[in-house]
Amino acid sequence: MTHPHLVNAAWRDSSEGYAHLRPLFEKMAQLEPGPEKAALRDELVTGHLPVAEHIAQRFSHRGEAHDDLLQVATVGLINAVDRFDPDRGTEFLSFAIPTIMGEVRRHFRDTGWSVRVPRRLQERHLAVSTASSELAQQLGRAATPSEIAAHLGLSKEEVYEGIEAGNVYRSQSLDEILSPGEDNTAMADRLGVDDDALDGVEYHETLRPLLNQLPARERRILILRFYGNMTQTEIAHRVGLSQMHVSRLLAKTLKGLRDGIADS
Amino acid sequence: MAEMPLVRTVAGAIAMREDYDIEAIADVKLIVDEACSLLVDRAVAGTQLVCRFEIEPGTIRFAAAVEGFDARPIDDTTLGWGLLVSLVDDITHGVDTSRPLPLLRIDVLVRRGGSAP
Repeated sequence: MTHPHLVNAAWRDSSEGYAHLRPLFEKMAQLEPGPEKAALRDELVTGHLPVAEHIAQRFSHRGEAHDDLLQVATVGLINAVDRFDPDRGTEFLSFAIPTIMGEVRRHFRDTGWSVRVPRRLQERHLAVSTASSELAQQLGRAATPSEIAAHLGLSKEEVYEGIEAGNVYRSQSLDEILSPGEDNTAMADRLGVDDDALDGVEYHETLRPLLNQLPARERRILILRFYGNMTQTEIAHRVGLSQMHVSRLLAKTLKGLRDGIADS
Repeated sequence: MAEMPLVRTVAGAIAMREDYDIEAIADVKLIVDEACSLLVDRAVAGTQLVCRFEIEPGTIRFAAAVEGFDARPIDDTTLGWGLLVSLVDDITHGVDTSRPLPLLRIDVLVRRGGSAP
């Protein structure tokens, strides 16, 4: 399978760009595997990268990210460099172009779908969506499943399958930016969970009036213990009481607060 | 909430089998989605969202209801509600307060080929 247009485009480049690479293939074929051979292979791959780019470009309007396509085309190019046999007497490009195209096609066939769907359904979906846009043009409105079925000569059930298969063509990434608008946060950032601190808010709000009712000394001890994270001995030092006394006061205050929360 | 994809799929399947056109099928899914999210926002956590589809030739009626925290009617000034109104042929919402927890519901009606924007 050759593509005259592509071959020509690449050929035009070859007169300027790729000719100097040709002898390298013969050199590489004679070398034993080793660092020298690997370096030659690298040079051949990078030298031919524009070919992969040309081909990736041709497929770029089909809804796959350009970078992914370029990646796949490059893999195809690497395969082509590895498999090319200069003794056959063919030009590298006439071998490489179909190889790279094949790789890109396979990518569309196998991984274009987010969820793997049987080949039969992939084709059904393609037929249904083509028919639906053709019919929309003819009718001036969106087509119904029965119209599509009649158009394609399929049963309605078969059309239903084709429509439903389309639901999984593309999945949504959790990192996807939902809209280019002002708050362009990714999907994952919008999935809500109950805040762990919510219960804390409730306690906090119940506690506040109770804390306000405490005598100044008890409140101070409580604050030093739980907000200042001090030990009872440190607190005893601060407020000029014995550690035992602080301990008793803390226990009494906490009990009072617990009872207060239970009552309210 | 975890069952929303199921409700959406059922809605799509019904619209498809009732031979709604391709765009209307997508609309029906959107309507069901939107109505349910308006209700789920107000529902008591852990309670059920009850969905009912009634199919008559050429029309789909969809009713959804939840037990809400309070008896405030559904806010019909939100974007979600506006979107619903623009997609359906008829829509009502209401609150049933005769029960321990108020029951909030949304009923919509979508006609085949009738909801052209």
